[in-house]
Amino acid sequence: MRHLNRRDFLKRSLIGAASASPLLTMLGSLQHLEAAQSGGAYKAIVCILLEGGADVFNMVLPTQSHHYNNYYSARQEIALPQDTLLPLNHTNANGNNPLHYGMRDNMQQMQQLFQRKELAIIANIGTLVQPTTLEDINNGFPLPTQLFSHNTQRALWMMGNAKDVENKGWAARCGNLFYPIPNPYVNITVGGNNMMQLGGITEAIAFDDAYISPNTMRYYGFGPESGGSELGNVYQNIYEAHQNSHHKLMAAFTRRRVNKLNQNVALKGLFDNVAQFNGFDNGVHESGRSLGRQLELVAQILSIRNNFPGQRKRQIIFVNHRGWDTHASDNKHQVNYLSDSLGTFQDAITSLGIANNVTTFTISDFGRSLTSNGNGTDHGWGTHGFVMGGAVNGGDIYGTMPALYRDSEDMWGNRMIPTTSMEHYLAAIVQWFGANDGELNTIFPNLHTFGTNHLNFMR
Amino acid sequence: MRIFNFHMGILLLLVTIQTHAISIEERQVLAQKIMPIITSLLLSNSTIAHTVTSEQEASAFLSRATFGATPQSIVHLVTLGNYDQWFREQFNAPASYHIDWAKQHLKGVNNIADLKDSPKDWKRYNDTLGYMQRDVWWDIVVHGRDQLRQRVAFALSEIFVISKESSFIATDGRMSYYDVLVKNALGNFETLLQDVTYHPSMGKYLSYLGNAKADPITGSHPDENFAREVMQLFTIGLYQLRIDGTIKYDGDGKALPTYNQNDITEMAKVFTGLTDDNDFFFVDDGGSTHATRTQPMIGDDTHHDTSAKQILGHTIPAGGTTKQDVNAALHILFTHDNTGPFIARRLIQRLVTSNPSPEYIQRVAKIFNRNTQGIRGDMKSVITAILLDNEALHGATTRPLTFGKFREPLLYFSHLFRAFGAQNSINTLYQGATPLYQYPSFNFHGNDYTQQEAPLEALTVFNYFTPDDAPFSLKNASLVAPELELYGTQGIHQVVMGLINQDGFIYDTYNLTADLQLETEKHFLENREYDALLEHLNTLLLGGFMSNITKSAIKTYIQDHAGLDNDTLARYVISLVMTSPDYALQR
Repeated sequence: MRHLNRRDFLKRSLIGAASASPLLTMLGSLQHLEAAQSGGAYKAIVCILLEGGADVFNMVLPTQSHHYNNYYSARQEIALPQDTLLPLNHTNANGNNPLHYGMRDNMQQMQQLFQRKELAIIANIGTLVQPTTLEDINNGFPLPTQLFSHNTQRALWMMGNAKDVENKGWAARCGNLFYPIPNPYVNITVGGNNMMQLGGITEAIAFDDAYISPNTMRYYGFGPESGGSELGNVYQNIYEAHQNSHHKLMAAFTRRRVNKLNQNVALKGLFDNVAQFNGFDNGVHESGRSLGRQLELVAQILSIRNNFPGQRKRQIIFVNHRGWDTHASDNKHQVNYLSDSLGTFQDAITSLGIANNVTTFTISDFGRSLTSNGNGTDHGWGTHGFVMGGAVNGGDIYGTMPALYRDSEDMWGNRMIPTTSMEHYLAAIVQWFGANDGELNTIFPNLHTFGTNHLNFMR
Repeated sequence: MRIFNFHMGILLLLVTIQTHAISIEERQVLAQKIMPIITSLLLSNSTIAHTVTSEQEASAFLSRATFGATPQSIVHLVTLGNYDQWFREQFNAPASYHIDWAKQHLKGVNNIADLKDSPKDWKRYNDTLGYMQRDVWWDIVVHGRDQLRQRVAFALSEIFVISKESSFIATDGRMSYYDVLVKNALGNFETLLQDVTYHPSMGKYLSYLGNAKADPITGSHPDENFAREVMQLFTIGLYQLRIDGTIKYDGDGKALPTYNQNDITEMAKVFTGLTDDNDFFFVDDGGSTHATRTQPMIGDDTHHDTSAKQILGHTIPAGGTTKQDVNAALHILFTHDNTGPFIARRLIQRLVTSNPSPEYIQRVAKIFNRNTQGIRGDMKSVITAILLDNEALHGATTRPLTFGKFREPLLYFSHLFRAFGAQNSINTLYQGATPLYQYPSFNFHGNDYTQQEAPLEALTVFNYFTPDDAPFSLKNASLVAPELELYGTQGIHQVVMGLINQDGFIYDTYNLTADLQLETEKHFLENREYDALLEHLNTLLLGGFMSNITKSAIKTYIQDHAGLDNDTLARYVISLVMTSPDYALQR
């Protein structure tokens, strides 16, 4: 057992005092803050990055013969057999997508979610400076910087603006608007550092397996039982003493480290009654922490959502599903693993009784080229988004599906030109999350360029 | 002129020390650092930057140029008295190669042949030998005499990334690829670029091994993967650079791109026709052999696009062979104006400091472009220019608010093993319960405990971190700290503590045989010479950058625990020093 010493006591008092004053200066946001913190139902959005660029054109494709044949002639050796596709009975509420579509045969879970109206498909979204057609491109209209480059395009998706350079990610801006005081536990990541959450008033908290069985420096610490935690104390004291170093890297590093150490203390016991789930699959030779393990961690975090200090009513959780950059093969494994993992995750969320409170959605660096390079596909542009949850108007395809044939008018070279901006896609989700029109325009500064948002896939 | 600049620099510095709002302690540290500069100025005109003035300076230099200072290497450098002689020794040291090491040391157990006598076993035991690759790396970086070459090769492995992850590249393919980096680390950049490009492991990793020209019937196009990354990550980068590495902008404040999609489409045509030499053009893991995985790819011109290519304002004429076109394209990249500053910044970041000044980048880029013999891309000249630059040797004084870089996990442990003469032993490599080979190693071949960092195992071609990674507070100040990406939630410090203290889950799991030799440290404790012990560690591990705060905190700890046995206490002290922020930030 550890007892508070005088310095700890002082520190805690100071934290209490410090957090009260900026609050008073932010009266404009106070109402929102209260709504987010106390009133209203809990809401979480879970963003799954399909890192590397998902080949969505082999996930959802037209099944009727003429259109399938067009698809086949464009894709050739990487085309999927027509008779294996899983049918999708989409309602076509917006009237834009009258064709019959099917999913790849190894996406049973996502197909069932779609049929149960818990999953929506948002067609051909992407990074745009303004609404753009092939003619516009040929006329030299502005395009996002460095199209088709992984890290650049991913950054635009995460910054939420493809027109101007942002220094904060959209999830960080959202968290800062909702909680304009030090705001730990609003942005959470189980998928590593990411630009989407970069720039929060408080850095996104990273959870890993170690948290589930907490093993913090100061408590369980270093070395043998006899001297271990004492070493941890010396260690922490040294870090605390360097926080005001004039060396900028030293100060940033030690502050971050001390925050983490104190966070460990503040969150001690957080996971004591964490839910356990069956069925999450660790995959096969996944890169880094598997999607299954990450989503299991998310479900576990959601199971103890009320135990966070301050009891956040809004949380944004980042998940990274790696391994989609398949130039020399197609996404067969990734697609199947995503589908199964989403199914398991939605079951877990439902078992927690918060199916209507958690919305899960995908983003990716970009879509991939429609035509093949012989055994795979290259970096593309437009991609589909998949949105899942009880609050989703599922069972439909939103936006406009592109025409999938060689040299279609929806293509530039062999890449799909997005027919819907990423801003419309993300804003529809963030609006459900609780942002009003003014806030949406702050979170997505170029949103206004794309006009009225007709994507009504959220309830 | 140089002298004048130096004097001006010191003058400015003294003014800074007097006026800048920095703590007394930091002033003292700065003052300590200035003395050697002044001394070296007084001593010599022409070799100002090349004189070694103290053990601390030598140690700091060795943390940049090697896998960590040792008591012997510090004494050796100080005895030499100047860096030039040290570079000559390093340039002449024979290179240590990974494949050779394996062939020399892997002795079969029971009825298994020695690895050198049975090349087929590379494939048969591929997965298990993956651990051996890490063992070999540790042995070479800790014991190799070609420290500079190895340190540069490691830096190159984080620029010219291939990985065990996400694409099946066999163990011998990876080790042979690493050898390409070792071989060319002190050669010429154009040859390095060629050898990297022709290696089958890179061919597989970026999917141009077996890349065929466009097929008008199926509509397939050449794979663009390597065409893009060889420009974006290996040579010229996304945006046009001045020679000092700063980005050029157009009138609207938009960064000027280096290339467009058309350049990539054209470049992709160049990299058609390359394959490994097993009589089958497309990727064929089943048909691969030790030879095809380790020998350069060949050109199969029947699959090569022989049309003319327009690349970055140059024309590669029609009718060329695969190799002619590839070499021509690589030459365009090698001679591009961006390549010098692009590579200069990356190598400086890997060896010296995360935030080099534009002037520093420019000095190195100029040497890249043309060394004193008029040669472009001479790596010996480039590396020497990086490590002997005034900013490298005296950046802690001249740029006290930003100089330095965070050590990455592998470099923590290489330094630990080297500084304390870790002894290995003959360990056995098992496949399941079956022993395969015996060879000398530390048995430190997991990567769970190095924040997943291991040689050639990054999750993507973007490495473990990118040159621009930083926490938001630094990014906002236009500063970067790439290696912090690897510090994770809990940091690597528990692992460092556990390994040094021979305690805990990690140590127990490992069965590590890196026995640290701590006689010197125990001797200081025996004599109750605590200040001397801390100064010894300050020199050996930190190049003199341990703050008084840290010293006094650790000294208090020692005094409070003088009753512990000296071996235990020595380990506690070293672990506190090596997990301190002072150590993390290499200066």
